[in-house]
Amino acid sequence: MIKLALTKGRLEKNTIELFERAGIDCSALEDKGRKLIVNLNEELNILFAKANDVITYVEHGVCDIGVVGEDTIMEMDRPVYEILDLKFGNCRFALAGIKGLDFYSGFNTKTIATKYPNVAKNYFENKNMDIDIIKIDGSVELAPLLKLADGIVDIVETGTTLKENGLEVYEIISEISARLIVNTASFKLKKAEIDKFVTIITSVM
Amino acid sequence: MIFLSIYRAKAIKGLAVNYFTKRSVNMKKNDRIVPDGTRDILFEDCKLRRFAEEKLRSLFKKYSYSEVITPSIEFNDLFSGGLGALPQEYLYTFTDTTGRLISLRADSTKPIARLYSARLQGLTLPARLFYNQSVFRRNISFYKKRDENTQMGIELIGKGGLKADIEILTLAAKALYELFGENFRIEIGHCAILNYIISKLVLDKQTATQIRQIVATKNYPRLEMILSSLPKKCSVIKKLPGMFGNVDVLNEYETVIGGEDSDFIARDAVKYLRNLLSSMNKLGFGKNILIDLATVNEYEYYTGIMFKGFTSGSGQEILSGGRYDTLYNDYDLNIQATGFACDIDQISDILKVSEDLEIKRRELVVVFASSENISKAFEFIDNSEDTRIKYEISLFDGIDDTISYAKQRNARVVSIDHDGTVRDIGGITND
Repeated sequence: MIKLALTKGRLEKNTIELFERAGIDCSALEDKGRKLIVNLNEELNILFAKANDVITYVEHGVCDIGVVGEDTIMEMDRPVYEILDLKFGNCRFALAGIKGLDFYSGFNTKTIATKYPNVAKNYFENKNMDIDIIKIDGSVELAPLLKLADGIVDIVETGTTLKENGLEVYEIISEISARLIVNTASFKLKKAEIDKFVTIITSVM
Repeated sequence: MIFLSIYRAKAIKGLAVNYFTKRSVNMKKNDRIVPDGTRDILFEDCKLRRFAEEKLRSLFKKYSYSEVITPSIEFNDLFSGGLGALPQEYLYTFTDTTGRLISLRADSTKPIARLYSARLQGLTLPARLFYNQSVFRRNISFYKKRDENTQMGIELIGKGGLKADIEILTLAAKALYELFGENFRIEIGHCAILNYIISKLVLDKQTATQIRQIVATKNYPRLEMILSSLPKKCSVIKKLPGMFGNVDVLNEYETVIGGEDSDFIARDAVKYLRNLLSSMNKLGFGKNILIDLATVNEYEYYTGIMFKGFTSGSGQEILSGGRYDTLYNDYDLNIQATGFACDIDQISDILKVSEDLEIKRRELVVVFASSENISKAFEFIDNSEDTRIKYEISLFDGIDDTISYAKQRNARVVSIDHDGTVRDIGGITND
């Protein structure tokens, strides 16, 4: 019996589509209502949580596997095994800011507004650059518009939000997609079940 | 605007502190709590720790290991430099009276190497040492990790070879058996497995470190990416993360996989592991020992076998060890060494929820005598040899208060007269 934590929202939708293509009956999820834990069958038990929490549950072993975006994995940097790229939820981490501005010009320390302070810090550390970071929880595009920051580190998909707000991508940081993570003990203790599950999933990918 | 927020803060009951008032009031609020990552340990929890420590201590002493205690504070260089350097962020560092950097002990193996090079070079080798002390590491908040952990472990210094590795593994298995019965497993790997592959791929240090990290986190997607960028092809490394189990894994690694990529198989290491496994089998620990070929050199100072111990109550390892033949090079010494450490805190936590353990409770007897006569109370206690009983001297002036107190403690009362007559007032129950 595997306990799987799903990230609520778009990733949840994509995962269910993938499961149905793989032949896993997801009808129990249709009338789940407000239920947080659902039994799909006697082998798979699903729960829904926010991205950060999916990682927390898997790390502590109360869930065996989880579906979560690489952006959250990179930001939280917790000890879990990341065994499969599910190839949906594709986007990228980018450095962005006001269109037309030269981000690197001038001698002042740059301020970056971001929902991902660790990712931003590591990116600039690798460039040997000091920066000031302001954590913003949503609509990070506001920060450069309000002149709170010189740039933002955020996930970008089509780039439409940036464009419509007079911003542009300065640099791509890395590619992101949804990943399958596994608890380190479960990976060994439930090897057969997890291998079986992964085989079923990858067969339709 | 500032005016308004302080006023509003005072007007809202229960929300008496805001950013501005916090800064102006003395920070008295910390006097009852302990810092993040630390805790008080009380009564039953203490008993459990001592129980676990006593089991291990008896085992280690029986096999001729002698205890050493290193200082809680060492020079920072010991942990932040040399082989197996820990990142600065993990260490609790401050300065001594002359301004030199010192750190709280973050590990016991390196201090023992330091101790050996400073004072123990006269010992006949192999030397067998054990330790039971706290190590301190800084963890990120809100993740239920403790900054202070008690580690109990052994160091077998000065001899390499199969027999030494068997001794260390056997003692690890016996230690876990003493604590958890059959419910444990030890996973063994060998540095040479991955090292050999990396040397054959002729990688620069950075790429090699990346690959080690990726294999350690079983990050298949990243592994794919990085392997496709290498000039030399190697499919063995892709299979490594899944190579764990019993001796069949070794056979599979050598024959099935070896066939396609035999250049990358560290055959000596595989043979060595097979020998080890067979010896552990003969000792009766066959079903408790597993191989994990993707074990990565976590502390960077391992040079041979690496192993971790688990029990079903926890996802993290409770025992960790290996062979480190180059660690003493930091002191210009060529000494082979191996050892392991047990996490007493985790072990106690697991024992607490296990139903197999029965902690014996002593019965309480309160002994009353008048102040002039009090020495008779002490005499009475000294003369008693019943180890199922614990005694308290009654600190109350009269027998009635004593009986009241004993009632609250579910204890018996014994009263001693001026002439030495002992009266057993009997069991006092709580009603």
